[in-house]
Amino acid sequence: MAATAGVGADPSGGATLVYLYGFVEGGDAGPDLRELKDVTGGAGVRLLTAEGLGALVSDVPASDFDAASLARNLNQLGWLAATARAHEGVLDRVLAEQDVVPVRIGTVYLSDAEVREALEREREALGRAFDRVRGACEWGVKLFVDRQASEADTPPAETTATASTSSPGAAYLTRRREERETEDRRRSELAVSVEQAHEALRRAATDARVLPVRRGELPEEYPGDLAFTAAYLVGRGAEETFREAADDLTRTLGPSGMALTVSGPWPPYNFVDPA
Amino acid sequence: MSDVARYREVALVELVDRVLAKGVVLSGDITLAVADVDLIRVELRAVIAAVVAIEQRRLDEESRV
Repeated sequence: MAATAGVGADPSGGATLVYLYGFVEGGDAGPDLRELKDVTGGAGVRLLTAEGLGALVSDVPASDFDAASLARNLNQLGWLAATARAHEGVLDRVLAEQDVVPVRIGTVYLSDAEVREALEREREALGRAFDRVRGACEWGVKLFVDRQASEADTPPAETTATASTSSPGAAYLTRRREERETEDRRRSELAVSVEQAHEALRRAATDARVLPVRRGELPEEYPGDLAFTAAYLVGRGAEETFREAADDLTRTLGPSGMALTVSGPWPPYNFVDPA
Repeated sequence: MSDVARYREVALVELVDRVLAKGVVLSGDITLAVADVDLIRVELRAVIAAVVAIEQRRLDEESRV
């Protein structure tokens, strides 16, 4: 799987590979490609065209981007962050002017010819991907539940368990039942809020993907426990409407200890594969 | 912490989430080092937490200048 043969060579003598960022329709990427910073920090972004599609690529040293090096580098925080930002930076600039189908980070070819072969081979699948996302960008939404607020509204056990008239055992059972009921009520209220939020956002979007909530994977600094996360495909003319819907939700959900974060516009990472 | 800083933190987490796990995956004679994304995911929480910390430090330094 590692690229060991047929690789190009850069002027300094090291072997080079071809890094792929994503695709555009037609032979023009929009912005001046020389203004873009590639994943090596240079100005080497190029557009390869075939089959009516364009592939955004740049040359990269094999010493950093062959299979073994990539696997090692992607696990180094600084390298991953810089490469992810450069990858996204290229796509962002192009996205500002036209539709983009993003490719996953770390997609590397041996040569330009192999990128063109991939364009030919994937022509139909890429065409379908463009059909799904044409004229739209992705927006990310996360819904958090305030940890303090959700703990604070638990009624103190002493005030509700009638300790004076019950045995300690009965009081304990009453308290446990009330705690369970409070927890159940909180959970169903949260489910209703999430459903309402998702509906309101989906109305302003052309497509939506609810994403898995992976507990324990977010930093402690976050404004609460992650309750819901989704991506919305929003037409370029509807972004204002979408942001207003998000602002409305922030206002209505705030008093019940919920916080909503919105990020975007993104290339449609979550919408380029079939649902 | 300002709203802007918080927005950028979130965006950074979402960026890493997207570029590592989403987007078109092409098959063929390519070097696809992230084929084993699950392995990388294991370390993702640590990576994101550290990225957020670095980003916050950078923002703090910028705001002091």
